[in-house]
Amino acid sequence: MLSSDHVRVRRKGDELILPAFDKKRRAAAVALATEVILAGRECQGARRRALEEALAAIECRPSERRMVEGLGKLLLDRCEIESPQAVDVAALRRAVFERAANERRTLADGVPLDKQAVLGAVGAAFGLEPQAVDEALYSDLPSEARVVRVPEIPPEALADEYERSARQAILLKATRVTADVVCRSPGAYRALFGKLKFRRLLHRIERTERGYRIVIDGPHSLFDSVTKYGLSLALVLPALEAADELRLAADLRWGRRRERLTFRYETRGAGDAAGPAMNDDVSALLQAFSELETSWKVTPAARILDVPGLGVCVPDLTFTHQKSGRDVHLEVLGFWSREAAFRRAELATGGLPEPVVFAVSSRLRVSEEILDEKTASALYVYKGVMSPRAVERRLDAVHARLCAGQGLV
Amino acid sequence: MLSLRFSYGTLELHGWPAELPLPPGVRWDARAACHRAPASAYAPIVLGLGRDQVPFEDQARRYEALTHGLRVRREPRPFQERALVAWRKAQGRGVVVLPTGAGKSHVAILAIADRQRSALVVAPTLDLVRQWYDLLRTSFGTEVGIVGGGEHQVLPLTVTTYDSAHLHMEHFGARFGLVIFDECHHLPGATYQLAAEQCLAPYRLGLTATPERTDGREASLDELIGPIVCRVEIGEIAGSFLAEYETVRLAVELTADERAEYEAERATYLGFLRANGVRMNGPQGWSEFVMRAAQRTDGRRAMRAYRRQREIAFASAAKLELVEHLLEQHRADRALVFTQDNATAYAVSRRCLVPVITHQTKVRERSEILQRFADGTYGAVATSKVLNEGVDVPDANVAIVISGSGSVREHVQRLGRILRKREGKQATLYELVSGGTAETHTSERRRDHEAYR
Repeated sequence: MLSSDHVRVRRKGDELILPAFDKKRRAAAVALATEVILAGRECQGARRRALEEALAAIECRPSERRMVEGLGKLLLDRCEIESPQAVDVAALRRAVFERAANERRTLADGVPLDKQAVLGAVGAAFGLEPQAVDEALYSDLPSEARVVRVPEIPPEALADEYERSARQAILLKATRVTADVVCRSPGAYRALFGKLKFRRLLHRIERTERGYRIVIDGPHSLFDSVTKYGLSLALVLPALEAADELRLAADLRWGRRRERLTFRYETRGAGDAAGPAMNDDVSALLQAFSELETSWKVTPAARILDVPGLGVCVPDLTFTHQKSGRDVHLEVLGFWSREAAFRRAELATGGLPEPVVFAVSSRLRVSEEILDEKTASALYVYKGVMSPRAVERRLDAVHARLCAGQGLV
Repeated sequence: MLSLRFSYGTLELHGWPAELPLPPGVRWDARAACHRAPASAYAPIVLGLGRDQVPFEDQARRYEALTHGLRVRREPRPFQERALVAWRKAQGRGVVVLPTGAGKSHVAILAIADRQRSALVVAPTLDLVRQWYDLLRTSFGTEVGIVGGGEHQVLPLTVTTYDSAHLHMEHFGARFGLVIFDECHHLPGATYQLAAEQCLAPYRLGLTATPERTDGREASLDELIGPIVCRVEIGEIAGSFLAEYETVRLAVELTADERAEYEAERATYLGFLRANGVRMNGPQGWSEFVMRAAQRTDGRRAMRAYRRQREIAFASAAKLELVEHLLEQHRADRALVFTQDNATAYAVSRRCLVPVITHQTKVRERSEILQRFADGTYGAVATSKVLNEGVDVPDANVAIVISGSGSVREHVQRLGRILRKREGKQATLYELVSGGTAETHTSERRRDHEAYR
């Protein structure tokens, strides 16, 4: 990953601007990437230090220096680097310094240490010439390692990677990210919330006209604007970018003076579109249920149900009762872990804003009784494939409880 | 019932009674539907609940009472005893300021034995972690955990670095009742101070010889650890508890070639400053120079010139020759050679055939070098900055400072490496300065301390 030092940005008021990667800038990036790759190829087999020096020597305008350093960093990260050592260098050092210390102790006043004699004597024991001993002494330092292989990478690909990494580098200094996201499928939302949870980030969700606004930070952010969660926020960026539409605003503490700045970024349709497609079992249920004669109308779900402190439920389908207009959602847990089923039960009793039927495979050995009749939501345990009629019965039961004013909704 | 939980470096309060006023620092967290406070607020919150007789379930505290006391009980020196009493009087929260070499770590050992709680020691470098590890093991006769340098074992007595504490405190911050910040002047600052805030420990001890910081942030130590409860100056104990010492400044001349190159590079650098109106003695001088250098076509050349003229002054041929001579003169002593940068440290190592310790030296090799230095196998060790602080090398009696920053603290700390008291020990610090260069001003700045008067 790049650091903020690899990114050239400018300030406009209290905003941090990352210049757009327009045609001209991209062409310049590709040209510089070509030079970087060329420098890399020329140093194949040389020491790492030589490659670093070659990268530093690439001529460019002052405004392009950070980009060159960033491209160089990305190339170096992909290089195969080895520290081949014919001798045990640590043992060689130990022998040299011990012998030198002994020799020095026995010196007469005014007589300097005979270094060649020390290197010669130790070299003889290691089968090396004195000069080779001197050269090998610190050959295990990273800068002395050999660049064994420089990857074959097109300059365009390296330039594109730089563009993506630059945004992540900025988020390293973020204290909070506000993301307006629009996804076509619940699966994409589910993947996104899974990533947030994995990174131990906290969030607040609000419904917007077309999607959701997610405010992401960490536990300590309540007391101080800390960049401690910057790495997690940077790592979650690809998941946010996978949305069909993303509008992001990151609060930053930028530079040595940790100035409060905002970074804004928008992308539309640049992500991997819908995320995971609707599962086969869900689309089969959707199809079968649509063909039933029933008082429920089924559609792919478009809502996220957030229970602060407990988590998020991303339903797959929404059933609308045609008379009452009430919605009941269905989330298919299928063969997920038993723990997932119990977590959903926690959500249901912890205050889900709308009722959900959680469909769980009988293989998970979970009883429908874990959600009792006081809870608006319900569990549907199925064998093999989900039955639309069985789903309808759960929906009706939930609806009856809702109409009777029971439950925790 | 009200319950307290430790969650990623914060304290979650579930079921706070509506009629009870919120303690300072506690806020409602809509994201998690509970009240939340920094973990460091644990002690005042628990004390307040106890005072108001509010029943609560404490699921936060995961530290324990130590089952083992001191195995080796060493009689404290009077000022160490004074420090412990003062710290105890401040409810086990405070900073103790003692000169380097005066035995700060023994105050910490006494504090752990006094409180009998799981304790975490946070130290600035891996060398110090290793040293604390040895000290705690010997003192308490029990296994000690290490977090950092590739190790991650958390035990009732554990040592870690500031970097690792910042990274991992949110995970293990509830497991210690006492936290000790060694060289605690490192703690204030946006990054490291989170380690103190995310730790639940009710008892806190800070140790330093030099609490003052150039940015004035030492004031926040009060909140992060506690107030300064005891301060002993070097003059109070020099000779009796510290070794007698002298400091010798040696001016060396550049060779004719070095002088010509130095003047040429310096002219390039100063020319750039003048052309761009940068005043290096202003508070933003350095930042402005870096910014201008990045913006202008001739900026890279100016930055290179700046670095080169420093290199020439810092590692002139005459200095390296003089180091060789001093090592021969002190061949019966134990000498530490300090440099400002790694390149010079490695150059000294190659030229004088002495081992070197830099941040690139692996932990095992560092330990071995220090061990061999302590047992007399090696008579000298070169280092850049990693041995500046705390590392205990009791037999070292000669310090040769080839180059350094203008920091008073760094210079005092380097002197401290050779001040550990030994019978009949006379310590000497040599400071090598390239005459007629900007280094003479740097030297004046760093000697602005009582220890050099």
